[in-house]
Amino acid sequence: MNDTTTDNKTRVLVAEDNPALAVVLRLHLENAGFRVTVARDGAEAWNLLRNQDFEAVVTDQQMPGLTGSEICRRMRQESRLARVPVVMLTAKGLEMELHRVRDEFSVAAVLAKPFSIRQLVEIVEGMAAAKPACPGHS
Amino acid sequence: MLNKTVHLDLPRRVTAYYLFFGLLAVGWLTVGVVVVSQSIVNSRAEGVCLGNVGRAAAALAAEYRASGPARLQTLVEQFADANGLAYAAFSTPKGSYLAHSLRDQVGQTVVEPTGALMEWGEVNRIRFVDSQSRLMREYHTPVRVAGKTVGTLHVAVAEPGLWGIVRSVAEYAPIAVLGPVLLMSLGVLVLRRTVRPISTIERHLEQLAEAPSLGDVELGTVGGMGVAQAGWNRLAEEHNALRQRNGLESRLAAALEGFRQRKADQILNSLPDGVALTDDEGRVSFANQALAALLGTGSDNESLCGKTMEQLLDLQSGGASVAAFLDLDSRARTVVAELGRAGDGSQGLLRVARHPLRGAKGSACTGHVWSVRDITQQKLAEQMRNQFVNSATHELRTPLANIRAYAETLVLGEMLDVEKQKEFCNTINAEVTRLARLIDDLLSISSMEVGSLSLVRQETDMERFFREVLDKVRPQMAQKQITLRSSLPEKLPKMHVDKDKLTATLVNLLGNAAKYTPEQGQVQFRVQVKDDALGIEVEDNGIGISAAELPKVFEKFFRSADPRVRQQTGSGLGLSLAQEVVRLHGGKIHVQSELNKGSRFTVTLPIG
Repeated sequence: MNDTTTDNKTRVLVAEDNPALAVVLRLHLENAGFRVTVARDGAEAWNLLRNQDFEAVVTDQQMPGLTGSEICRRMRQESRLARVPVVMLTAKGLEMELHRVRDEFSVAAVLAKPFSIRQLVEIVEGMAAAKPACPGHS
Repeated sequence: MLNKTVHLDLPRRVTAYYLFFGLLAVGWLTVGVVVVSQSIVNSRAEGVCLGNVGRAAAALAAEYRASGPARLQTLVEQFADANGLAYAAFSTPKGSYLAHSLRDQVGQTVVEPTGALMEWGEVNRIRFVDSQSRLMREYHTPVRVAGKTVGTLHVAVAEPGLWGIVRSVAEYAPIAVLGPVLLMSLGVLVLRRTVRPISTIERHLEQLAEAPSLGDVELGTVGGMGVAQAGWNRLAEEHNALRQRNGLESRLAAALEGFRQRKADQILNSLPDGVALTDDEGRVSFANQALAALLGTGSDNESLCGKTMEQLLDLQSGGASVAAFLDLDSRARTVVAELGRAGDGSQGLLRVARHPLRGAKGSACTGHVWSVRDITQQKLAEQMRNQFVNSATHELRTPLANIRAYAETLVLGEMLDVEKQKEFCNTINAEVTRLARLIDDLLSISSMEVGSLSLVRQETDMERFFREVLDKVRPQMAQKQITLRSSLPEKLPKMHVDKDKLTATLVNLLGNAAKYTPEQGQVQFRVQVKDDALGIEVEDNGIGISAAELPKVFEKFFRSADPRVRQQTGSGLGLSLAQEVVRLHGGKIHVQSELNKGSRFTVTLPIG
């Protein structure tokens, strides 16, 4: 269990345009104890990021509106969001692409579709545990 | 060049020398003859005189003994006349002239002339010059009667002298002069004839000496049978033959060169790529017509010569400096780069390649060969293909991701209640279907590419067929709350069609209508039977297609640039596939559309 916010749950933003996948992501992450907000496209996701706080972001790469990498770029340009860990889900399976994406956008992890959802949950749990969201808490 | 101080040609020179020396010889001879004859004449005259003097003395002595001095005068005069003497005289021992052929001298004192004296026995001779400047010879000899000198006989002759000789010779002069002159003239003629061929040769040689290049001169032959002529003729023939051969060779080489050059020009001008040659200063020395077209001077490739490629390309790039962009400074490198027209490539893209030309044996760079190609279309095609690959990848992996996620979730049974589980299984099925359809599309496209797409026709109840199609698309329409209206005729014939492919085609058209129509829009599906054809219309009031893009919608991989279209997933293959399927059925498909108003796709199929 991760209790680092006032209501004790780590907030995770899931940006995924595929509704079916979004449903199952929410299911698993909520089951793991996270508070999940789902955005249906890149624009919505960015909006949410600007107006709310999240401890972790899971985003698809190819989405209408802003792409996942574009969101990352913007995040890294804002101090408030710069250090929020991001997991990128991408359909591009080329090794080269994965490395490039990881390095260029400083994402914590890149998962290629089709990925294992358990693996994703583990990664998010790892991300949340590694970084304390509020100063003062260990 | 010849030293032109020698103006006379050979025959004249020879003639001149001949005449000069000949006349000199003749002159010498003449002088010699004259001198010799003078001395001969003199000595003969001497001899005669001496003989005569002796006889005259004897005659006088006889006369004196016979008749005394009375007839001496007469004798002396006769003697002088007979022998052509200057004078003859008889002088007494006392020294006065008793008789003298010159009568005024009779009785005068004998005066011995002064001059050279010569003695022959009793005869003395004195040579002297008289008062009239004549050279005289006086002989005197004593006259004896009975042993006693009774007087002296004086006989004088005038020496003929040179002039005398000349005068006596003069009468023969005409003949004497004419002879040699005629002979010499004859000699000149013969000489000239002999010399003429040589002089002709000399003239030819003069020609040769003056010609700037031997190859320009055509040598003439000379007539005659002489050795020199034969030798010259041989030389001349060889030279002329050689000259002709050289001329032929150089004409041949020039023709070949011209031919090759024209062929090269033709080949270069027929190439679709722009080709240019630049010299070591970067100035264009040759440009083909394709380059002129690419760089905007129409078919006038001549006007490009003299400019540098940098200048010409700068014009294309709209000001952005080409040199830096293409890294043109390192001259010995091959450079290949893409140059966007108008700076940002919005007017097209050029592929520019520059290869260095090396001189003989890999020496320094003597210039470059440039190749310019318009790759705008190629780039576009590449872009579309990349786009397709990207979307295909996405489209394939998305359902897979879903299937996996859902399956994994099902495995972890405790998360879901039974209802949820059933729901998840349905989702998996739906995703599988979606995946299957996409794979079918891709396979169809592949078949289409290799031309092996074929129809499996079967007898089809068209009414049922259309209903099934509409059923397939209703969920999609419902999702966006789009109103789907359909109108089918009462009686639909049975048709021989490929049900699967036609279903896919119509589902594609209706799916597009749904995709590209905003929420709560309208889609109409109309079927009509007219004459021998079935007409199917799919109309929507969605975002429509721009006039510029309308002709391209049936192209493979084509996806509109409109962001509203790009937002939707799509392979860009649907319409292309639809067109092929319709075509294989013997029908036609066309589209009408207005941007932001909507689109209408019409499929016509022959019924028979």
